[in-house]
Order: sequence, then C-alpha cells, then structure tokens
Amino acid sequence: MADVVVDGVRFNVVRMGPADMAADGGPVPVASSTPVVLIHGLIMDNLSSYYYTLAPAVARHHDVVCYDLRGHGRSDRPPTGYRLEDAVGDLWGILDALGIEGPAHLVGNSFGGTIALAAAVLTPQRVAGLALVEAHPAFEGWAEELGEELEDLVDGFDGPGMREFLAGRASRGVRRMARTCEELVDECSMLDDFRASRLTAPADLATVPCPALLVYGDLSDVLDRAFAVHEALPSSELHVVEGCSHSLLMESPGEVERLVVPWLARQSPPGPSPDRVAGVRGR
Amino acid sequence: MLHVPAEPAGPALDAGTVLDEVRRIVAEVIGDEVDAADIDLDTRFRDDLDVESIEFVALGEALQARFGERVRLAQWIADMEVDEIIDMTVGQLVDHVAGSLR
Repeated sequence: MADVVVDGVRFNVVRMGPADMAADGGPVPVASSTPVVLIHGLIMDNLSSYYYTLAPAVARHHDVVCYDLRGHGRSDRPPTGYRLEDAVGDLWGILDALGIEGPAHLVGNSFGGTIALAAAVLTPQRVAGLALVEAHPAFEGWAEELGEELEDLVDGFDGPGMREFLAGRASRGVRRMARTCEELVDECSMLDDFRASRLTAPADLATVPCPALLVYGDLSDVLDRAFAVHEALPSSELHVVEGCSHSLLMESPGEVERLVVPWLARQSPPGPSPDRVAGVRGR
Repeated sequence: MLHVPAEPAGPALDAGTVLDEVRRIVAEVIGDEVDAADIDLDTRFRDDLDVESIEFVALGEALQARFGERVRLAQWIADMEVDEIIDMTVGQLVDHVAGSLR
C-alpha cells in the first residue's frame, strides 16, 4: 500500500506483481516487461472492483498498479481538476512517482475506459495496449449525457423518504456512495470539467497506434459504443459477452479474466521488469 | 496512508496478538463508527461491521505493512468469489495472517 502525491493531490495506490502471487517456496515467474495499470469507473467505483476480480490474475504475469481516481475511493477529493486531460495527467503522474517510465498497458472499466482512450490519444508513446471493458469514449455529447444522468441521480436523493433512508437505515456503503456522488456533482467542478474536456472523436481514435481489446455485455446500454470504437480504432478486437449488462466486470469477472489475461500476454514480450528481479520466493 | 510500524523478522505471533492488531487497524480504517472492543473472531466484516470493499483492501494492505510481506492477501483471495471475501469473519483473516507468520 502506498499513497502517491501528484501536484498536491494524494492518491490511494495498490501495487501487486508475480512475487506477491507466487506460492511460498515456489519459483517466481519473470514479470512481463510491460506493466499494467487498472483504471476504475465513475462515482460508486474504486480500485476494489479490480482488487477482487482482475488484479490478482493479471499480477501473476505483470506488475500491476491500481489506484483510486481523484475524488474517488480513498484518494483525495479536491474541488477541481476533473477534465479528462487532468485524469490523464494524474495517471502518468502516479506512474512517474512509482518510477514506471516505459509504456504500460491500460485496462479501463466504463469511465476508466474513457480515460484510457484519452490517454492513448494524448500520450500514445506511453500506452502499449488498451484492454477496455464497457468503455464509453468521449465522443460529441458524452459530457452532456453523463452530466444529465448524474444530476438526475443526485436529484433522486431528495425524493420521497430518501433523506430519511440515507440518514437512517442505509448501510455505510450506501451513505458513503450518496455522499461521494453529491460532493462530486454539487461541490466539485466535475461536470463542468467534463464539458470542458478535450473530446476523443472517432477521428482521434483513428490515430491510436496500439492494439486494443474491447469487451462489452450484450445487454449493455452502451453497446452502440462498442461498435463505434471498434470501427474507429485501427487495431482492435471486440468480444460481446452474452447475458451481461454494463456491470459486466462484476457480473462475470471470470469471463473478463479469460479474455483480458491472455490478450495482455499476447501483446507483451516476456522479459525482466525494470524494478523487480525474479527469483525463488523464500519464507 | 496508515502509518503502521513494520514488524521486524522475529518469532511467530499468536492469534491473540494478530486479533488485537486487526481490531486496531479496523478502527483506524473505519474510524469511530465501529467500537473495536466489540470485534471478536466471529465478527463478520460485511454483516456485522458493514465494511466496504475499499476498506477491506485498505485493511489487508495495512496488515501487510504491519506484519511484512509474508502476509499476502491478494494471493490468498485470488481464487475466492467477491462475496466470499467481503463476507469473511475476523477469525478467518486472523487465522490466515497468523498462519502466514508461522
């Protein structure tokens, strides 16, 4: 566990790699030369949704970095700095602080995919590959649509009986989620910052040089984006998982793992990681 | 960041010592909404303490920082279902930590 401070903002960061996953006394597999960063979704999400699903499986082969986004989980919630460009700056600021300078694979879930795609457009030299689960790209109208949804969600907290519920019977998790949502929407510049963000139009995605894996649920409300992103990116493969919604990662973590882990292996030459040495794990 | 002193390599710790540490770290992670004195081996993280997923991660990371790299929560939970992890008892976690240090 480590906190990483980037431009005065404290981020909750968790790292794991092959040495953490090896059996006691067993050999530690050589980490792939390409680290993997896992980027979570908006508001109710944080790094724990990876920690319990994809992160350990990926960490058998790669050095893995998970972090709570600005305003989310156990990271700081500053009032400003929520443009996509800021999120991309946070991402590379964290990797810089960890000493990871070479290209990394980015795994993005939902809004994490929005950030990963923006990173691949703005800083292609640092992105080795994109594995995106239910990504919704920042196409024209993205910020407005998301802003309306979130404002409706927050308005819902003032609905009949909701305040009493949130003050009383609601679990700490629900109360905290509601508070996070209200603070980000009402007290932070998040929605304004989304509207002020540089979009990643299909023409921008066409410039992305790295390979991409796209995974969506066939019942997802953003499935139309799957086809648009697949068409726009020069090199991508698309998988649609049956019976799953936008919550694909939590609904079918095993299926996501079976798609993402081998794909990452195919994109990554084996080789010693710059900051970890393979060996036998002792006790 | 939770500031916990790292345990120097030394004799194995018993379950009681580990339980005391779990109590202290839970209180540190969650704050004063939980009375640490009420936590025992049968306490369930979700049903009794209402621990959130992200708090459980912080708890595991803090235990690792406290007891050293022999405690590897990520590896231990890698093959568990999400529900299985967050619904575990304090005793299960204490057993795992004490076992890792043995």
